[in-house]
Amino acid sequence: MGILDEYNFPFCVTAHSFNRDKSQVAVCPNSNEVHIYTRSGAQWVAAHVLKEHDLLVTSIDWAPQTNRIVTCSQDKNAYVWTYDEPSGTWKPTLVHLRIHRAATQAKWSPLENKFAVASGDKCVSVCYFGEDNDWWVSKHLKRPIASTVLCVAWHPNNVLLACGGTDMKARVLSAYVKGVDEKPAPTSWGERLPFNTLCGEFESPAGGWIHSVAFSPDGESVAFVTHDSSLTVATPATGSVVSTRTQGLPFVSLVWPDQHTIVAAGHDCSPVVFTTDGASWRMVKRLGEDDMQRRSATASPSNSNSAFNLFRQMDSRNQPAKASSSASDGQLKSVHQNTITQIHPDPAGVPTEISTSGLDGKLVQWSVRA
Amino acid sequence: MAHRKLVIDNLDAEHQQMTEQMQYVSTKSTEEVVAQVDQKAAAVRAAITRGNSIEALERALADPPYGRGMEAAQAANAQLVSEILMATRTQDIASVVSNISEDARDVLLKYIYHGLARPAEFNCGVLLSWHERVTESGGLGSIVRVMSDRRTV
Amino acid sequence: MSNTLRPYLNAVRSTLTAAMCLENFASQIVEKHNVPEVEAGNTKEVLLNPLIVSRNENEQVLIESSINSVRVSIRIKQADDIERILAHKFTRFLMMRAENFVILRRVPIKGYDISFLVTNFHTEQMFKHKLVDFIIEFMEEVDKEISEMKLSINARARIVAESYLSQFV
Repeated sequence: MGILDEYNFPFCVTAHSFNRDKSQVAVCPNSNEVHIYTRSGAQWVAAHVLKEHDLLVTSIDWAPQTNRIVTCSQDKNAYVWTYDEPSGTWKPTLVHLRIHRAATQAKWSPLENKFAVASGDKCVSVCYFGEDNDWWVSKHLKRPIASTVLCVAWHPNNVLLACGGTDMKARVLSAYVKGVDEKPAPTSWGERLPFNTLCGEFESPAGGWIHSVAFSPDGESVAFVTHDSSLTVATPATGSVVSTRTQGLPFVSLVWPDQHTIVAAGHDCSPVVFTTDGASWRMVKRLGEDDMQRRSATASPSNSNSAFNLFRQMDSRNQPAKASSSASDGQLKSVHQNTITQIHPDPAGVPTEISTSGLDGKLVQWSVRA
Repeated sequence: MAHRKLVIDNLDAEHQQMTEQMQYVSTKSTEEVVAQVDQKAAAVRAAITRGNSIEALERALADPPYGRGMEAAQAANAQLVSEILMATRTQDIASVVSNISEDARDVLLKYIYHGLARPAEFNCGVLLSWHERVTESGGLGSIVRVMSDRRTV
Repeated sequence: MSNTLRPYLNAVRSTLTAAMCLENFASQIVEKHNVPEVEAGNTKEVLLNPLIVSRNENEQVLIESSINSVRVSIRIKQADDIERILAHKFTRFLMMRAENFVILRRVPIKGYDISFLVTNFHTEQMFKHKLVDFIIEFMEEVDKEISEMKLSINARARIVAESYLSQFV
């Protein structure tokens, strides 16, 4: 358990995505560009800059099998980038999204023949390659979404799509596209699934915007994190909707790597692991805390001095030192020093490995083995 | 030039719908809720006189009056909660807070903020010391829930 | 006196930390715009319940939060006319130089003496816990500053009066 790899970029990393063998990573430096870095030993070396968007890039997704990158931005556009071997460059293809507000998140479907783009236009664009026109076309999931969609997630069967946003409801909708998808087998979400069928609508008891959704690996349940610092898991087969509240700040991203583990991260700066006993979900640990203690112990042998400072501070300010969340040197006790913007599962599908990126510029790969 | 100050987005039907959706509307009528609070008050005051703050809080915080048009009931319930908070000795606060349920604790924090917003009616010193204990046991998450929950008290 | 100051500042600190969970959010009303939603106020669903923390009627903090910005307004203690004048002068001085303070708002919210506006761009550039520390420190300092100024005004008045009256003795 712990950190496999840690790298500090000199900018805020607002989105990231690895390629299949993790030899390359696409990151967004909180701007309208996407930078692709190649691994060289312990370092990441800048290789390409994808420069086509006008405004902040909100999401990057690198399809592991087909090696295509989809990026979307607040300029209402999405591009599919394909690597052109002979010239050694990434070639953009504009996607016909037909939305009039910012795109917020893009995700490839499991079969990588479709992707979904969430947007502030109160809809989700489901995009697929139109052979006739030779470009990416889209269909809109509109009803009954009432506000900005912040997140999307695909069901393993490549048809169902979960989305959630600022209307405080997580929904499961059908994104079945005739001619692209095989007829899906009936699941506990529904038997017949024409496009835009609403298969489920859930919310957290205390409300709050849905920041991230994910299906379980077997596709029977959907989990989402909301702005009331809680994790909610809904299973339609049993009709159970279980909400787990936490003591920390809200999560903004989650992954469900294996059936009994959910990892969520966000404003609290450390990823949190949840496990289930079959009925409810329980927080088991925060990643990286033991690691950080070990690190600070080796880094500063003169701990007595900092304790002295701490007491002096308490004395002079007439307040307990624990009121401040930071240690005396202004460092947080977590690995990330600022909000974690995104958490990604392993691109090759290894369930015990995840990666996180944060506003502090860190890109960390973790192992979540218990 | 009055039309220039008009926000046309507010006239949108969807916008109206969203605004209504944002406000929690109770299924019960105002009179029912007021009667319910009155009913609770007797049992709660009995628990206070017995010195049992935990029971009193659990009762007062169960099924609180939420939503629009419930101002009278809300004020009465807030007064009731405040009575319990005042009656509890300072040294007992920590143990009381750790012994009430998670749900009750989150609702309690809503009432603490309700009181802190009205310094003329409530004793802020007492509320602040309760605030400290509640956030100690519930973490920052409980404050986030007060902000995000549309069921305001 | 400082008995209620400490829990007051602690309550403000924890409320602020909880409120400052911001993310980049483009307007869903106007395309290609990105505005602080708490200021625009035209998208109700991205606003959170505003919270007020008060020490007494004269000392209050209003924290209004939204998905991409949080507005903090402070009512500074003003016990008498001199303190009222000093607080006004002091906040006016700061607000006229608002661009140097990054998160300071040029005009306070009605009913308050000074307002800060923290957006997601600030929390991206600066550490969140440092921003919270800054506002708390400001609240501590401003009281101290005003009472010190008041003392020196009184001291000065005494000296002036003495030297004026010394002509007549």
